[in-house]
Amino acid sequence: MQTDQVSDTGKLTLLKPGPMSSLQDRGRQGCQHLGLCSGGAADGYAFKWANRLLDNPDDAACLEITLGPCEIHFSHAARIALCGASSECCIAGNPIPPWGTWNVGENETLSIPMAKTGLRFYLAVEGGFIAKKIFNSFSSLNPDGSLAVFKEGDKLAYPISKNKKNTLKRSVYWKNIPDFRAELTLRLHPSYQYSLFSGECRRKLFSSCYTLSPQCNRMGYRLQGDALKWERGGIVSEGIAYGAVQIPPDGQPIVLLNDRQTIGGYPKIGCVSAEDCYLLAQRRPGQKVRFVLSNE
Amino acid sequence: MALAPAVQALNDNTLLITFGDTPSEQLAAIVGRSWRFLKQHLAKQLINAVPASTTLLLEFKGKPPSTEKVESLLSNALMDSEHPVYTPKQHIIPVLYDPDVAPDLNAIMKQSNLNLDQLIELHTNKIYRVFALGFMPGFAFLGEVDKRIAFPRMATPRVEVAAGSVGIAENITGIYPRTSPGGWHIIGRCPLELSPDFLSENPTEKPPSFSVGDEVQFTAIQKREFESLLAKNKSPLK
Repeated sequence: MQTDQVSDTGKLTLLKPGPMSSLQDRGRQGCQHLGLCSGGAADGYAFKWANRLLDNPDDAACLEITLGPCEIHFSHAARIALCGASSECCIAGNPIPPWGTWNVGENETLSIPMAKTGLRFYLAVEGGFIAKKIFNSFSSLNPDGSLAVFKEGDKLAYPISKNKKNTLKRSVYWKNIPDFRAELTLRLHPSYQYSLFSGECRRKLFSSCYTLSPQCNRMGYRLQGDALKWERGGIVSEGIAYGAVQIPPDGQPIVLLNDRQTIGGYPKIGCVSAEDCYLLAQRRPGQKVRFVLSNE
Repeated sequence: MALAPAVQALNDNTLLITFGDTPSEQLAAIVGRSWRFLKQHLAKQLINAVPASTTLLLEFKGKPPSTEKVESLLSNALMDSEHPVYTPKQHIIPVLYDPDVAPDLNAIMKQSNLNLDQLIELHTNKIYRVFALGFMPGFAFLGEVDKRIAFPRMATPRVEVAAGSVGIAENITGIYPRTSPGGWHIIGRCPLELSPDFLSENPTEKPPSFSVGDEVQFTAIQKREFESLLAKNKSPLK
């Protein structure tokens, strides 16, 4: 992905892009009726903090880096924030703790080794990345509607900081930094076909512990555990909300996330709250989750 | 109109309006009308709206409006149902009905006791309505298919269904805009490019761009015409 050269912009180059890095924001608008998913940052919480630490607009684009390792060169000095997953990240060889702001000098390289805890890093630059919006969003997109990921050597433009004095470092208060290693409880809003599932099924959902399967990605997280049986016939395809918990014929729940299909015909037992979906998107295959009925 | 749409909150910012149980031409018209009306009247608050055969999903920037507010908007939307809110586009889609490109054609003929001409007749003489778009970008759910050729989804989906494949599932027919896994019974293939290009200047203007409420009719073509359309479609000079 190339951005046209504009004066007063710096260039970030992905020397090593990592397996799945893309530009993300709060997602596309007015696109789902075309069958196009809205995309957007999978961990909306880390994304929000990355922008907030820099006083960026809350819909400024961030680089979402899944897993790593990743190496990023900056052509000009920049003030950055890095939130989300953590590993031994360095700027020009100097270690930087996560969930804070840092200054990168001209011609310096940010290295992000493979994530130790969590799964997705969010890199923001002061002023936000400069890119073209599609459906009112910076979220990376291929012509066919699939997620566009960055390749080695891809560049991104960013505004050159005018306020040279603003070198004050900020970080997120430790109590606000989630522990992605902890077992996660997902608050379920009972909706869709919830009341049509048997009582036994619902009890099972709330009493079981589920393991994240290897099939976990931006479309959805597949869980493994007690199978939930849908004893009725097919349902008519309907719009799928963020966080919807779909129960396919094998009974293993799937929590549907940002890059989900827009409509689908499998029964759904409710929706996981957005805040818990953000935390889920930082979990890895093998980690455990439980469901609890949302009391809202 | 004897209709009581049910509004339910799916999560903190999403509502689902259910208009009925069974997809039909009449319901599709009601969903389409409500969608266009609400999109206009709630424009500032809406992030996305997803019309489907019997439902309409509304995703809001923040807390959704009250159920009462949505119900009152809906009754306004449906009150003046004679007055059109959308003039449907008409699409004619050429299809080659041939076992060479349609792996389920023979099985469908056998199960339905129809010969090829009768099956083509049943599939092409109806004007279908776009009930919904989804499953993948550019995939239109078209209803309703004649009962005699309305076959359920296959028990085991195929790993690969070719782009352009025309399939049937229950009383819905549709065209796969790109190669993908799929469980619909494939009875023909369309040589046109149907996958939208979202990076083009105006992605929804690229023909044939379906919109909910549009009319679609299939027309049978011979192998030679299929191949010439396919060649044109693949041509870089397109």
